Amino acid sequence: MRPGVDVNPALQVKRLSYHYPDGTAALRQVDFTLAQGARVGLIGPNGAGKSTLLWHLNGLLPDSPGKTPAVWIDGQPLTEKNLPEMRRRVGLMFQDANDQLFCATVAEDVAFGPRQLRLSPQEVQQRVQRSLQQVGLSGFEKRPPHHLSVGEKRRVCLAGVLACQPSILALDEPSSNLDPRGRRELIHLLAGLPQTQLIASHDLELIVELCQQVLLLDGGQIVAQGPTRSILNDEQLMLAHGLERPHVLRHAHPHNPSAEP
Amino acid sequence: MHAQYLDRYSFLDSPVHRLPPSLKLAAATAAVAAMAWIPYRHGAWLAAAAAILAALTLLSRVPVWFLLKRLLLLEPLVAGVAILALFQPGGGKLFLLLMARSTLCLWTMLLLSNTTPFTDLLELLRRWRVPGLLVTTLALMYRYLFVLMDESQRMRRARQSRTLTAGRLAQWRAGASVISQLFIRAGERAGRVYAAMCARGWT
Repeated sequence: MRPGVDVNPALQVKRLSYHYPDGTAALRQVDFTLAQGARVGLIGPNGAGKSTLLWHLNGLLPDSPGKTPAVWIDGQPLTEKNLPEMRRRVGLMFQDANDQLFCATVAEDVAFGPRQLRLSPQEVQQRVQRSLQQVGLSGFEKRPPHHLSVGEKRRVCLAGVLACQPSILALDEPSSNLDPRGRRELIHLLAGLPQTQLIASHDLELIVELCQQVLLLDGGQIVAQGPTRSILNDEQLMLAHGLERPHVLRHAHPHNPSAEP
Repeated sequence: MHAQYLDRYSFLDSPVHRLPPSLKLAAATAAVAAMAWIPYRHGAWLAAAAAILAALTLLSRVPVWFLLKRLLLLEPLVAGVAILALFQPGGGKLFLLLMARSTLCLWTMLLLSNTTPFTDLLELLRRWRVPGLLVTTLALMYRYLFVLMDESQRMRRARQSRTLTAGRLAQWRAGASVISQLFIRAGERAGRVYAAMCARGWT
């Protein structure tokens, strides 16, 4: 998070700007760094540019890369040439699980990434087993995605991403549409993963629980970044950007002794 | 959501369902080829094929009314072509032959698709070295059929909930707009699905 301090950051975004095809600015001079193994929240109102930013980390945007690389992963710039390797390193989880689960069965879907990496069938099989086990869905291999619950779909998405063995996870609204149990399981799952994580979400309570740091994005610009609690506790700042101070920070109770009344 | 029950019968358990998918696909393909080829003078063979299909249908426990409904849904397409035969001399016989053949072919395929999970068929095609792009396209079609049906159902319900007058014309017009909306949404989704494929290394 602090530029110049980390010797070997997992992800660096340098002066990233992007305009939609119709000319509106989506991202303006976005600048930040993620330390290895950090879990960072990406917050901001609807239309702030959160998803657009995540798509850039994976090289899905812009359509034609600019001359000066804006995204650096493990100290290497993301360019046209190393795109396949960079896409493997950055696992992107999409907002709508139905967009991401495009195969006919769970096993096929998780195997998609490893197959693209041209791994041997045995290795693919191993990775499918391991990833499904990691997300707690062993035994779901043969199921078609349309027979899964929302929470199960999300976890299959995550398994498909983990099967590529990424070093960074970029998650777009991972808890939306989940019931409390599904959300709780997801939080446990994410908390147990060693990867560097950037979590875009409106679920501020989840951000408080999972992330030490946050980036606040509005109008395509980073308006604030820093420790989660100090930013989310700043009522003025939160309201000014279409957010609010989450309740976990408002109320002091036995589970949450650090809340500031 | 009802769309997920679209292929429910392919998950039944019966002697026909338990046959190996490769055998079923090979037999069904051979049967369709043979039925398309049998000349009129060997019409008895068609009757024999119909008897075998009927026996398999009963054995498979797929409801007969369900198969009949599906068959009726597809029959107009067949009839449209067969009717052309009536315009040539002695076309009556040809018409009957065409109708019988294509009905049997459709019946075979319906029986196959309702006794074998589609995912098994896809796996089989891949193993049989059918071009990968074709199998991928079929797999995507199968996957998103359900998503699209759910989406259209949601849109129809949303429209119904705000349809306060029952004018036939207005309903038809709204129905048309649902279809056009569905096209637009499907197009947008296709873009996102492609992005998701690229994100996991599709080239």
